[in-house]
Amino acid sequence: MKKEHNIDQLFKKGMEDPDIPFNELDWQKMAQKLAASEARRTTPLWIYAGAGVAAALLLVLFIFLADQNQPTQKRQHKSVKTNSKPGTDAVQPAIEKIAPALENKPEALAKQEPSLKQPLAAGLASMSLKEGGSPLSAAQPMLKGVTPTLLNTQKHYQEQQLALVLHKPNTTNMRTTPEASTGESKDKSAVLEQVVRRGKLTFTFLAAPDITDSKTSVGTKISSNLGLLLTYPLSKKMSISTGAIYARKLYDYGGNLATVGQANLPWSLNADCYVIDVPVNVNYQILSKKHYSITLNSGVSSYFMLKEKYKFSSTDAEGVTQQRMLELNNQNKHLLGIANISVSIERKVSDKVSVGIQPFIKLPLTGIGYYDYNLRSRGVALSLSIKPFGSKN
Amino acid sequence: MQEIINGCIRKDRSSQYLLYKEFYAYGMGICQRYALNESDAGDVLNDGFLKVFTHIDKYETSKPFKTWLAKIITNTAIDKYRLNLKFSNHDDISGHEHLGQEAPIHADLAYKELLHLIQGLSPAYRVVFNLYAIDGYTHEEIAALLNISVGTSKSNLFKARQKLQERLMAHERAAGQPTSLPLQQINKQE
Repeated sequence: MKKEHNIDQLFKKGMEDPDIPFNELDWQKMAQKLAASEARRTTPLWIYAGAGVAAALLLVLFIFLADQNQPTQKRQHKSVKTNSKPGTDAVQPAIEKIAPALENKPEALAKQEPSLKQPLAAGLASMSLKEGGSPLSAAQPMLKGVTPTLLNTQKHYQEQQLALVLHKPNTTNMRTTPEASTGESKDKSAVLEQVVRRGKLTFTFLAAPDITDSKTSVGTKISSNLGLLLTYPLSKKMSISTGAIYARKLYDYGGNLATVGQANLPWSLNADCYVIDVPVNVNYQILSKKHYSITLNSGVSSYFMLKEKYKFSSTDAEGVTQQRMLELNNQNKHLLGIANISVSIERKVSDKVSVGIQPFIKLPLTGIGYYDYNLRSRGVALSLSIKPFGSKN
Repeated sequence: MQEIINGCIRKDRSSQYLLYKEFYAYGMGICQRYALNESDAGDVLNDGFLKVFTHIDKYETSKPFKTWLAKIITNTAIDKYRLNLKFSNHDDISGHEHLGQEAPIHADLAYKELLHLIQGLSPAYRVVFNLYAIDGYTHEEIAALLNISVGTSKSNLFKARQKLQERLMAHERAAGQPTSLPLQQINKQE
């Protein structure tokens, strides 16, 4: 048997059988934990499916954004390759592409790449003048009935012109290539820059009062939300939004011990919580008029509890009310713990600015806060949306 | 008691409530010693009770329920400690075998004061002190439980005692009570 140290003895003796008063709220939390544990085996698939869809959408958005950069890089590589081999091999495919158009009609030139249009048209015109001094239109029959020699001459001239044409863009690309190859960070900023240039991002400022409660709520308090969302269109009608909303959730709830067969002793709890709400929503525009649009939004939110303040009041059998305070900082987070459903009704103020209202409801997919309550919020948000980069989407 | 346990096996909420209430203070006492604060202690207690309710059909009625409960809650607290290992502070033992047995300590501290002193220890010291000094584990058992060496366990225990002793003395000075008793006197009184 080990020898006991004096300090060990002091603490062992002093801490055995502590007189800790029973806290009804701890049992409430325990009961919810038990209920959640029993329900977990039968959790509806749609909850997992919803979380999966949200994750998939995020992935799609990421891939979509990443793809924005790829065509630029491909074009750059192609240009560099062409520049490094300015001979016939590099020019031949382009000649094969252009030659049929030259043989058919000059209008076909208009369908070619803008960079090819002017030099080729100029080349053709100058060639026509060289052959007979006739205008471009007069060159049509001549082009159709050319002799092999003339064709060779023409082809040779086209090769020269195409070499010039292809050389011109290369010089531009040679200027941009070093910028593109300065590292991954510049690639990322290039992606962002490209997105921004296209003007597809919409910044939405939200301010919303809401009512947050649960089934056992007593009384009603108004909570407040303030946030910024970014919306990126996936198609003409579909878009995805994310951002951050700073919210102060005020709610009261209570009950009594009759639910567990004990004396009917009432208790109540006042909660005051500061939360960062990070939503990921998919939006579908169901109506789009010149000045108005209506969009359905749904998705999931993660709650990051910054501060939770609870005041617990209970009344004992003698009618004496006791109060207890609990304050927690950064203790709880609920990833994808809330389902969002809302409707946005927006009015265009200008090409860049629109204002709107957004009735919304937030439903719990998991218990929220220290006491794991199934909090739901409903309210109406006022929104100001800005497309700062001038899109007309 | 057996009736309550049978009710818990049937997942009867009222029986679960009665069992929870009956052992709340005992379980919370363990949790408060291991946890950093009241909020953590509540979490550990409920996590522990969830295991109790989930596996209560495995409880052998021939053994004291309190012992079974204490083991589950202690293990739950250890699991929580493992999750927060980044705060651990392990030192190997070197000449720490002897601590001033003659050091005077105040013998009449209330539970909350003692708890406050224990909660003031770093997690690594606190968990070893709790396991060894209060819950009766050996250094070998602690080493296996926490995946540390026996030397580390001894070192942490030594440092925990040292810290506690310093704080007890500081507490005594702050309280201005000259009634400190040497350990020998405490032992004689028992």
